[in-house]
Amino acid sequence: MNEIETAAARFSLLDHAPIGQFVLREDGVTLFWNRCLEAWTGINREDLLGVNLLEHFPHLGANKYVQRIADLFHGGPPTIFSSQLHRHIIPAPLPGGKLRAQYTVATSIPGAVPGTWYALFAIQDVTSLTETIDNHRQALQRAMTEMEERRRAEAELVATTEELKRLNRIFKERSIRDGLTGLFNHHYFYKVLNRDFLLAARSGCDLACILLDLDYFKGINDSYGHPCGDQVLKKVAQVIRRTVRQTDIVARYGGEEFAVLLPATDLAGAEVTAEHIRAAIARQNFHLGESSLNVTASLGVASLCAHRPRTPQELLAAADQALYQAKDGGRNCSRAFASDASAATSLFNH
Amino acid sequence: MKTLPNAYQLDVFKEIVNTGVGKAAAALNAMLESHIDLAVPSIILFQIDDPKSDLAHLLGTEMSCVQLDFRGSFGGTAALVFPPKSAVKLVASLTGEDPGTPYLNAVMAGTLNEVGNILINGVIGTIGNILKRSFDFSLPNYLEGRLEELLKLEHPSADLTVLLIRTQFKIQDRQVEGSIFLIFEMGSFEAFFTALENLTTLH
Repeated sequence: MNEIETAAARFSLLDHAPIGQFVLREDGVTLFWNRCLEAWTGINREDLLGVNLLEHFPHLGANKYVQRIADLFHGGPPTIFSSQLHRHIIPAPLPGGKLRAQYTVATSIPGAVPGTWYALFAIQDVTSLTETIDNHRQALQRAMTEMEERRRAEAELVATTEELKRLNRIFKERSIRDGLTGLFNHHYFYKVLNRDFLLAARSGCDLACILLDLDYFKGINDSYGHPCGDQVLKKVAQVIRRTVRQTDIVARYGGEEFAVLLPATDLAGAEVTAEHIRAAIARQNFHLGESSLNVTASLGVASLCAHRPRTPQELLAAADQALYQAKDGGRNCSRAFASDASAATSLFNH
Repeated sequence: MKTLPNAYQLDVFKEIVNTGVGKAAAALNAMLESHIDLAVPSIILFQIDDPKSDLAHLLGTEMSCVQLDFRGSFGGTAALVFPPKSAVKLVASLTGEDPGTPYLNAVMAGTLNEVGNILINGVIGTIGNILKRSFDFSLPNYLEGRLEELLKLEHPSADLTVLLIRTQFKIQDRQVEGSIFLIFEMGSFEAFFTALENLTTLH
């Protein structure tokens, strides 16, 4: 019986194992090739036994295999070839052409001649394990990527929302301000007037209103030009703002007309404030280029408790009426709404 | 009382370990695309029950371990031990595949088993070659667990002596530290160093 026949008899049991197994002699000749490997590679043992394995698989001639297998033929310790570092030892295509991932352990076994050694290779197919782990890892990476994308999208959304909020605040602020003077605009003044009127009516507190109109302002625009007129309006706005209390609402009511709403203030208090404003404006030097000029204002004052208007509009109308009286009274002065019954009746009973 | 190895015996052992680790480094580099440096190993000898030993602080911690049992004129276990994080770092730098988790999966465990196998074979194979002794080997095994479970040290005989070979892998500027434990069976430690003694008297 030759060495191959001896090996066939000795290793026949390995034909029943679901792992690829083959036996090599030190000179590289294949002595045994199990049924599993026949099925995996399509190479029958008749074509392979007795010849050098490298004739079929020349890649195994690389140093990284030869060096590590060499010791096995002298009884050296088992050698592992992992699937990650080698993919496979014996290429074994699956349906579709993909090669099986293989985990191989080569061990030293006694040869037919005492004192000699064979190398027995046992190859585990780890394709499905590898794929399962790969799929799991890919799923994990996808999940991580999605999570990262979602986190970024959320961050962007937050940033956008913040920006919108900021723009909204600016827009809202602009919508209630007069562009030239920075005072509240007419629209906002009405809103506050309506609210404060109701509050005052309910709580019994007084609420006063001052309307102010610059005297001969058209003449300033005509003599110095509109840009100079605008400078005057801005300065007047500052003077009023500086003179009244923090809780008073100052608005640009029209062209050169201003309005002040004084919560929790009676007529007498508002008259004092109106007089302060008038004096401050009269005192102020307005520098326009090289020349300077003085401006005066007429003011009309009315209050809730003094005049008993039924609506915010009636309060404004009373102040406006008083403003006309100030104009009639020679300008650069302030007037409270005439408290005589006939005037009040004629005003409010329309 | 056990006799400790003398200076000559230790020198021979160190030379064997250096040769073996060098051989392992050459094998790893032939196989891998990335260059791997194996530092000159340091060798520590200690009694298993010595509370001040290098082993004491490792007991109770989870470890990744590749081990190989050998049996012959002397017997024991050789085990390459890593903290799991180092094991993942090592395999990830060798394969370029980031597992995405701090644990080794089955395929990566196979890779670590191969790397450990190369290193252990380098040392054990060289011992066998130089002493001209043959051994029976177990199949290399990858295990995770507490160190004392892995090295079967839970009920050690008091005078069990362990040789600890510590080395460092350096792969593309990443440093990974690993330890090889050589644990000899009862009586085998003396047999091993006697064999070394005979070798030294030969020269």
